[in-house]
Amino acid sequence: MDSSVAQTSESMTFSGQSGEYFRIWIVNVCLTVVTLGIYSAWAKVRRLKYLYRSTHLAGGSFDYHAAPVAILKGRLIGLGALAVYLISGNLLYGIDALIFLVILAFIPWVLVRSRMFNMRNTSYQNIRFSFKPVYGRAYEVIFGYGLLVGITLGILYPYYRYKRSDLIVSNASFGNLPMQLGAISREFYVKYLQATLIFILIMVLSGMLLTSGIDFSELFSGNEKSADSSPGTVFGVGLGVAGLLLAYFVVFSFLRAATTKLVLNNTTVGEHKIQCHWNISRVMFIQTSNIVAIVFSAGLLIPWATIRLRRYQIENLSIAIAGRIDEIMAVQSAEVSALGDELGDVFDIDIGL
Amino acid sequence: MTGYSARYFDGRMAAFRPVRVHVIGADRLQVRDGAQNPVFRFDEITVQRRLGHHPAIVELPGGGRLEIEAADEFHAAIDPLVGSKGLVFWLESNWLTVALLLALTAALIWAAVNYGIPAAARQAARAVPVSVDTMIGEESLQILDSYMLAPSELTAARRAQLTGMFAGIVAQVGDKHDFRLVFRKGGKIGANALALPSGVVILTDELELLAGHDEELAAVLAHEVGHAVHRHALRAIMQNSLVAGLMVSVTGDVGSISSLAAGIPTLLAERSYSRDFEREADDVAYDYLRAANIDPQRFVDLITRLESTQGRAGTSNLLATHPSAAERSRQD
Repeated sequence: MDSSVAQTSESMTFSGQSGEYFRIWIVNVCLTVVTLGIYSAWAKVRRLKYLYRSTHLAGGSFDYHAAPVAILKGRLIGLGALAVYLISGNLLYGIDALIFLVILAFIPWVLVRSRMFNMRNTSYQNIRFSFKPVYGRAYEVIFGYGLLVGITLGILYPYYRYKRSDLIVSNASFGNLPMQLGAISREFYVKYLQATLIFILIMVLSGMLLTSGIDFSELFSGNEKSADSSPGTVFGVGLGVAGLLLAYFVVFSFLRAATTKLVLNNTTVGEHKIQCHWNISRVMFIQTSNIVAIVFSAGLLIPWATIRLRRYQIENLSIAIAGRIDEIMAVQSAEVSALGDELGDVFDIDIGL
Repeated sequence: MTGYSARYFDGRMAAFRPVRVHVIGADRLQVRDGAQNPVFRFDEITVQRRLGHHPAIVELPGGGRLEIEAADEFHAAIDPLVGSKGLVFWLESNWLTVALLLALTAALIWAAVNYGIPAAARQAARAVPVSVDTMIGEESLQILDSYMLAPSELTAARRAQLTGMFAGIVAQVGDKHDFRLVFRKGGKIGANALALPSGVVILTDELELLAGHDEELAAVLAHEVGHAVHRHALRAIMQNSLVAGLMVSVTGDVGSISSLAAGIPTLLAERSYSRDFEREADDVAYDYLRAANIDPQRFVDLITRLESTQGRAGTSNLLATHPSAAERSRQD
């Protein structure tokens, strides 16, 4: 990078409001339930339009342009495939395994189609993003590297995740500015190692609690007829399972946040650089407290939780713009490919980074 | 007509120019940019529906876009002219309608879970032939035998006696299913009776031992036959799938971690369905006992015996799949 070129750092801002989004969300849910799910495609478009239009950078905003009908078609196809899979298993033994393999074989194709659909329908200052139709590369990454992960008993998994992120970032562009992910496979390994250590720590703590000699059967009195202290054992096992679930949850949310931050921090859009300033513990805290709030509010706090997380994530993102602020203005719209909006995103795969 | 200040994006560059937008007559829009000042007919443009506090957005032919800050005024002027009713926005914009819709949604979900879904499953199950039930249950006995059950130690005479009793029960409350009574040593599952969807009913030696009278066993066997007759396995699969689908579609657009929270209401609904099925099977048991002139107390006796050995007292009823003996005795 030419260090003599001045770099201005522009922070992203988020203007979404909980109260406003709550009202949008309630109407979405109600209409979806009343229409037995058909409205869900319109609900998704409305929701994303609101969230994207609330996201700002250098005075401009993003937007979402998908046609709800395309999304509905995609969802119906996804539902159809699911139904075929479920029913076939009960009709003819073994055929559901076959159908599962067929569905599996489509996954890389669906991934690319979804990415193309979603990027093509996302814009910043009215210029669309795009994604190259790299079907071959998708099969290479998901089945090629995926297979290697199995062969190496999981050791290659962080590398596979890096290749997947590379696939979905480095084939995207904003207008005529190509996006690129840096070579960060080593950094991916570091994150997965950290995650493994966290997992081990939690399991050790749970194990210590289990074997600390606390006699759980004392908690279940008035049951002298019982031959074995089964309630006590059940509680102990339950605690062990809870510990395992907690470990999985913590590790999963850590990895999600940490790898996303890693990818964002190493993504360039043309000459411009994305900068991610997330504090990972803070993101994990927000996600955890969100779930608690959602459970205890019977779901009513879902819109609040969404805005809260998104606000933190976006307001701690900035773009280092190479050159003057005017530079970001001179992005031209790339040639529009003929493919695109017919199918929507089947299975609604949320890829993330 | 009044003009509105706006940003104009031409769709070729990520840059905007400040312009003024004027509504001309009842069918045209002019963009005064100080140069060409193009005019567009309403049927050429798309006015995006009002959403939140954001600027009004007009999409122009050729990929251009207008963002008008004074959204309220602009929409008030143009919506009636382009025939946009703004119904969804109106529903969203006042707390009263939101509260009403929230109440409506809650009522609909409650009605769906408690009435709609069970009714739909009951109807659908009627359309499914009995042969499908057989397929669902086919593998189950082999799996149970491999992992949990051992051969029965009851004498051949005793088995013949119970088989005869079972035939009487099937004659009274059975149906087209191919009912068969099989005997096993329960082992890990202890004193128990299981009904497979195909019509196979498993009776464990431990339960035979626990029962104080053969009429208690008759009650339990009739209960199990009830499960098969009422297609509970099939209906459970249908209902649980529908509930899961409902929960996912309601909370769906939240993100994978938060959808964990959707699992809790699903679990509660499934347990409630399980209790309803148990009650239905209990009804079949009581029907049989009445028809055979057996004291219904026999059934309660056996349940009580089972509970006292398995330490059920005190377990919260909400999480239990089976109604307690106290509840069941209230049946008659």
